[in-house]
Amino acid sequence: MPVYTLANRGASNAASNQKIADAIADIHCDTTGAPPEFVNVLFMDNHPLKGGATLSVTGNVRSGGNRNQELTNTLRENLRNGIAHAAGLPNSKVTIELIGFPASWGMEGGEILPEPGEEAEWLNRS
Amino acid sequence: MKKALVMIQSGQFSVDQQTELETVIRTAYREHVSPETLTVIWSAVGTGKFFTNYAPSQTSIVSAECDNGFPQAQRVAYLKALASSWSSITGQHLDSLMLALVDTDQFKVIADSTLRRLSLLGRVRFAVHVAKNLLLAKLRRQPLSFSPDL
Repeated sequence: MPVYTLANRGASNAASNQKIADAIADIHCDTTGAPPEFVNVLFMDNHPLKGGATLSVTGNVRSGGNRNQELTNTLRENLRNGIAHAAGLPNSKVTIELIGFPASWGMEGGEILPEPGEEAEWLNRS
Repeated sequence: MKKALVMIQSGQFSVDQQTELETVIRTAYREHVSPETLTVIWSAVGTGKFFTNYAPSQTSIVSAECDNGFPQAQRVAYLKALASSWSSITGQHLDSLMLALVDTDQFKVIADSTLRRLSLLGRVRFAVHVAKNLLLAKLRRQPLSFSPDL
């Protein structure tokens, strides 16, 4: 967690996908303080998107902890700018939806996910 | 009827492994969550389309729905049981396995996110794509599976 799914109006390619995935990991970690090990990005092709969008991003992210509305808004805006830049698209062609859910509902590494902001202790667990 | 969505890499597991994994998903669900029928839907992501930590991913994601307000202790028991059974079948490191048991209202928000961003034509194409693949899987008596690409 997070899991970002990107629906592409056309066909994507691995090199471009890697560039966009790198941008998402950079932005998510820089903005939220989460470690990159958590960041998953997957791409889906040939989706007829509404509103003339070329790339539509849905991010399933942990809510609570240190994530207030201001941070969520900043994350959304940073993602839109960064993904558009990495994809070579105008910002207006990229849509973003962030969906939050409690960390306690998810598990990675065989352990319940940490609250946002408590990742360091979780990663250093024995 | 509740649903579980499983996201894997294309070709990551054989059909026999998928069948076995589907059994352990249902068993863990029945023992820790509900006796209700669980529909398991697989989605296989193609090469070059799934990344974790800046690199091509080997992660599998299993998310299932439960009643709203589901007790946390039972949620943890389900997730731990599934993690253990899954890794014993696949040999996958637990760091490459992401599991979630999501309250049904929120599960619907997540599951419908793909449809929300599609045009009307896109929604029709998506529905036909999923229905066709699910029908084929039923006819072949294989796990219900489809590509996320349209």
